[in-house]
Amino acid sequence: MSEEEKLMITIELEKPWDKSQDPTTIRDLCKTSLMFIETFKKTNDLRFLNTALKINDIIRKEKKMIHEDLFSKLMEKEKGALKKVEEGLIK
Amino acid sequence: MNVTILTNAGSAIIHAIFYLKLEDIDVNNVIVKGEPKKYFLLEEYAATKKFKVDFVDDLNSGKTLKIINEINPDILVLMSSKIIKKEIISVPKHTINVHAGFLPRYRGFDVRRWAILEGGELGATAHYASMDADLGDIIIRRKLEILKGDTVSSISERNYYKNRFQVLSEAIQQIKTGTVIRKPQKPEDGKRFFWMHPKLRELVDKKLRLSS
Repeated sequence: MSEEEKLMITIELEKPWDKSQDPTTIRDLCKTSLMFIETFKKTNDLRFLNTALKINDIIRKEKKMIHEDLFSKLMEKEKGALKKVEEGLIK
Repeated sequence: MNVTILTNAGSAIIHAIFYLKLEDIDVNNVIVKGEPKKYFLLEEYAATKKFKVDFVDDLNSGKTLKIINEINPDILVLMSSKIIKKEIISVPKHTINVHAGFLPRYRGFDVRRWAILEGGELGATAHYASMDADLGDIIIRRKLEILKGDTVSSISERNYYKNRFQVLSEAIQQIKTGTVIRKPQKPEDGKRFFWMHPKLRELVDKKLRLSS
């Protein structure tokens, strides 16, 4: 099992979306989400995108805690990843 | 042979017991998470069909362990989304779980949706219980085909009322007749899945519409 997969499972079991988070954790989660979206793009393993989407829901609620550019980048990445999945449905 | 069901799905369990009865399998005891007043129908059904119902606050509690030790079932059937602790599952010789996915590929939660989205195999699996999510030895599994016009809901119902009960019944019959061939699973043969995010669920629905 890869380190990314171990981290993804840990996050899914800890469910950070069920708790309030401090700014440092939000920034860390933001980086983790970006990493998971990249992992999804490389591996096509949809579980990474799934966890990233759950993390992004927290980040949307707490967007004031992170820099605007980072938030925009994350949203763009999410949009692109979902588009990739949607295009795959038609093939 | 005593068959006991441990579940957090009190009312739905009536369907399972009804199906097993059709297959000449008697359930002797049911242990349910919840309060008796919520499950009056189950209690009425138990009185008619002569099986005993016990209620517990937590499936992993000391009370559950005590009841299981008292019953000392030959077969304990887990019908729960919770991992049950080792002290409980190790009491009977046969503790089995019915999983709503086609193992070994799809372990964990929301596996019907994951299988649809990935274009993988849908189905149900009866397997020996283990402390790792859905990783115990496989007893029997059945595939489920997607039909034209299917929705997640119609697939889930068909899988629940046909495949899950069928594999459960066949697994119990195999245990009773001593004909089980345990097929061990390797973690690398499958993946552990978690609840699917609503945005991916929408794409699952879209995929089913497109394939109709």
